[in-house]
Amino acid sequence: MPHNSGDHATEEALEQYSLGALPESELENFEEHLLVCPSCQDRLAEIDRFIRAFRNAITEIEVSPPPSEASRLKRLLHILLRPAPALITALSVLAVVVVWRAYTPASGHVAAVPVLLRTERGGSLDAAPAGRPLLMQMDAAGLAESPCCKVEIVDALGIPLAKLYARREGDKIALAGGRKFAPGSYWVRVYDNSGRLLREYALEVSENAAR
Amino acid sequence: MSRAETTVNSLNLPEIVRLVRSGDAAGLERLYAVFARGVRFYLWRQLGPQDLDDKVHDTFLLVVQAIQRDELRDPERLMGYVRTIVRRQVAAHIDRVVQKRRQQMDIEAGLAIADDNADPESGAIQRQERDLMLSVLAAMTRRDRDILTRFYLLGHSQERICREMGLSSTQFRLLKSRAKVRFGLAGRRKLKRKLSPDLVRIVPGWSD
Repeated sequence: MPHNSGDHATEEALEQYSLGALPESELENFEEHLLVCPSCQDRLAEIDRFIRAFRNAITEIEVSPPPSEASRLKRLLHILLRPAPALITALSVLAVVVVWRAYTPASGHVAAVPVLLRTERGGSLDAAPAGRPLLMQMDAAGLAESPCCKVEIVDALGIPLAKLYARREGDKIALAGGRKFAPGSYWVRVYDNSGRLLREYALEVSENAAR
Repeated sequence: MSRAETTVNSLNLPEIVRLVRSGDAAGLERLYAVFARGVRFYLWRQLGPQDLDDKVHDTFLLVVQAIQRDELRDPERLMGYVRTIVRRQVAAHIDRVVQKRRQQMDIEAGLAIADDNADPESGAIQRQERDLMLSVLAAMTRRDRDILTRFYLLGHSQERICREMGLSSTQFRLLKSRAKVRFGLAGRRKLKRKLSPDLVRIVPGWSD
């Protein structure tokens, strides 16, 4: 098995598999080994755990609001109060700018949030933040290669909200541009060009996710 | 020799197939040992904990019946055959879930969405792991976080990340392995705090 050192799968192969990015040509040998190797099962479970925790945590960090203007000002004053005569003038100017920004209405720019949808069952369904543009990608590992496909987004009652063309990017299916959602449950369905349903992904959008 | 090596190397697949074909209980037992761990793990990972025992059992029966009907031509390829059956089971299960959900949607508007979440205990564990990871990420630079995000969240390849972020493959691997070690250490520290004897002693009546 090219991905193995000795009898066991390499760290890279386990990671690729966990991410759904192990090439199809190597999948067969890998999974046959995995079925009989408790050691690789344990290591894969560890990697799954790490990646799941990373994804849960990084989404929180990415959606955390920036520090308030008041706390920025506080930090700046703290710096200004320290003895640093050579920088006093420059920092004072900066303080004026910060104060000016604090009283200027926000520009309304909201950063987009990357969201990767997977069909894997058993993990918790992570909520995406409501009201922020979601850069949506769907895990396409195991699906036949095709340059593009159709994506339908339906709400919890199955009412179609959008029908879009998506493009294939390696092991992902990507929708162009960001899309905002109201809080709720959605299903994202991927069809091939002949209209055959290939996969369905759950998407949970919550106001609480954008803390 | 480790437990893993023992298991992998001691699997005499043609012998297991021969015993199962002849209906020998020892063969069934040895085959079930593989299912009890490997197939179970695979199905749990793909489909979650719901009805897991039934799914393992169904798959086991399918494989045994196929072997006894002589459908497995090359006994050395037993695990390849098992894998095929398991993958079919997974695909069929997902298909059934999708169909069922569609039919229910048609009949009953306003139907509640099935909860795919694991049990509450798993949910609590996942929240703890997320908190551990937050502490690990908080100690990282923005750039390091971005590198990991590109790999673990956005699915960029190692080559692409190294090229675009000006990293060597060694630096990339080091960053990943450090993050994993810190995550593991943070988890162990948390566990140690929970089990700390100092905390036990403050409970009235338990002190020396």
